[in-house]
Amino acid sequence: MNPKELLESVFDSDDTPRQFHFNDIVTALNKLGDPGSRSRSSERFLVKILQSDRRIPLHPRSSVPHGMSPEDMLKSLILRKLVETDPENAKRYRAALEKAKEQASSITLKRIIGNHLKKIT
Amino acid sequence: MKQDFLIETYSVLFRFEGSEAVELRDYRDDVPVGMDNKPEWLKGTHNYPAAYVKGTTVKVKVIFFKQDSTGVKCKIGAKGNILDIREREVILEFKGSSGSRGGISEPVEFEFDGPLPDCIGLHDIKLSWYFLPYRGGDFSEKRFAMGESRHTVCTTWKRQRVVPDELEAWSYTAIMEWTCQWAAGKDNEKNICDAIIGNLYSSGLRYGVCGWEVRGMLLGGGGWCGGWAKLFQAMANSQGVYVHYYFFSLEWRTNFLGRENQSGWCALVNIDGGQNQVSPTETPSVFYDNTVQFPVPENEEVPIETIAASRYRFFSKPGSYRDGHCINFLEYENKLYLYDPSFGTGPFELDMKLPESNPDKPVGGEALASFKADYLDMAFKFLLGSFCNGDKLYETIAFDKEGQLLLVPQNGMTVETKLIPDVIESENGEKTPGITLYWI
Repeated sequence: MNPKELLESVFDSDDTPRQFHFNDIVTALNKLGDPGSRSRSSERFLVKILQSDRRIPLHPRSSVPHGMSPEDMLKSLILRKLVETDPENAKRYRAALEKAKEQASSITLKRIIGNHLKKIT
Repeated sequence: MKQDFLIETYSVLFRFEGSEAVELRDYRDDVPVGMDNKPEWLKGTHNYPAAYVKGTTVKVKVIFFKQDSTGVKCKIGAKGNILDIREREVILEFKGSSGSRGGISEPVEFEFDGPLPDCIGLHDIKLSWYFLPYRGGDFSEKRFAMGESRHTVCTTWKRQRVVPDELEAWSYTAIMEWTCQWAAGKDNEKNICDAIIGNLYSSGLRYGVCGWEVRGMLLGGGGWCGGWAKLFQAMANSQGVYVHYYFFSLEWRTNFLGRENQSGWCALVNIDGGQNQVSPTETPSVFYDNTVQFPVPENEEVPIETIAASRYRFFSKPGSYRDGHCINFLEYENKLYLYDPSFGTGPFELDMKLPESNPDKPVGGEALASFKADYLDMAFKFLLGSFCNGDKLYETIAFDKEGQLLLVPQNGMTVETKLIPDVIESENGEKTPGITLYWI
């Protein structure tokens, strides 16, 4: 399964959810968000994940982050891909970042997004 | 409804439009208690607590039940174990569903005959309701019983605060009851926080299980540090006390101390189980503990203890923050106190200012001196890094070439935190902060 297919089955599928390992999702995200090979379509998909409120169905033996939920940690990683690698391009996604900040349950993620929003103003 | 009296107390509502009651929510359904659709006390059905700022004079709205629909003019009041309900004259009409003989009255507003206790507390209030019927031009002197109602009323230190992106002006019932019990009689921010941290274990919630949100923790029985710091913040706020929420993550510096292959620091390592856990819930791995000297001088060796153990590891990532730990700060009388609810420790009085939240700029050295000496050295017995000991490199391998955190990271050298100087001076006089971290 390629990275986009894996992420689609996590965030975009209406099928009975499979269970995933968090590390596999992070790897797929790293591949899809790599600035060298990133397309507009994959970028749009990352923005869609950023605004998603879907819970990741994790395998009971999956590793998890401690400071924030897996969903919020994933979003913080997407922000790095989108904003830190190309702040000028990230201006196009200001509204998406604002929505993600509003939806975020983690205070840490809200602060990270707030910091990114300052950079792209 | 089983009818024991001619007129019976049916429901008691504490929180309604215009009342002084604090908003509470039941964590099981996340719905506010009180208002029109959920009176706190409904005979034989449910009994939720109510909450007020200490010293408030409480008003309630009460609905009565009568087996027939005849209206009644009477005086109604209640005798209580702590406070009475002030007697008042009412005319009750009873409306039932079609076909039923009896019915319920419109809500009638009553007031307690004095303020609630002027301190934080959890009060078990019993009210024996009675009425004096109007007969022959006057009210009867004989009291007729209307049943008893029993209420848990919480009194808080202050009203809850709204802090954008962090806190709202309501509490879950469980949190309110816990904090009013734990902090009973406490009268300043510090004493309240100390009482909460000291009693947190009795919530039964555990560290080291999945949970990052307050409600999720209450439903699931515990959580990780992100949840615990939010929970502690919500608990303090239930008493109107604001504590700051902070996340910190070690900066993973490569070529550390000018030596290729050395990295400092890759992970925070905790050997304690955390709240209501005997030992860490992580899978055991092999650690190489240096409890003797740091840094180890080039071409010298120190004894390393090899140990297989379950320890929590919160991994950073080269070049940026990743995972870390969440704690709370209280600013009180120009002093800064740290609380670590995940491990039930604190307060730690720190000789520093509240850190600036900055995900881009790590801080270290002298700026962390008090944080390290007064908290980190105790809270995280070891920090994990990659270091040489003589000819041998103890290398931490946490990520693969694609940047994926390995399922089973390999531990390099675990250095006892207290051995790490605030500032490390190399032989050529160059100074490097011993530890740097991101505050968010």
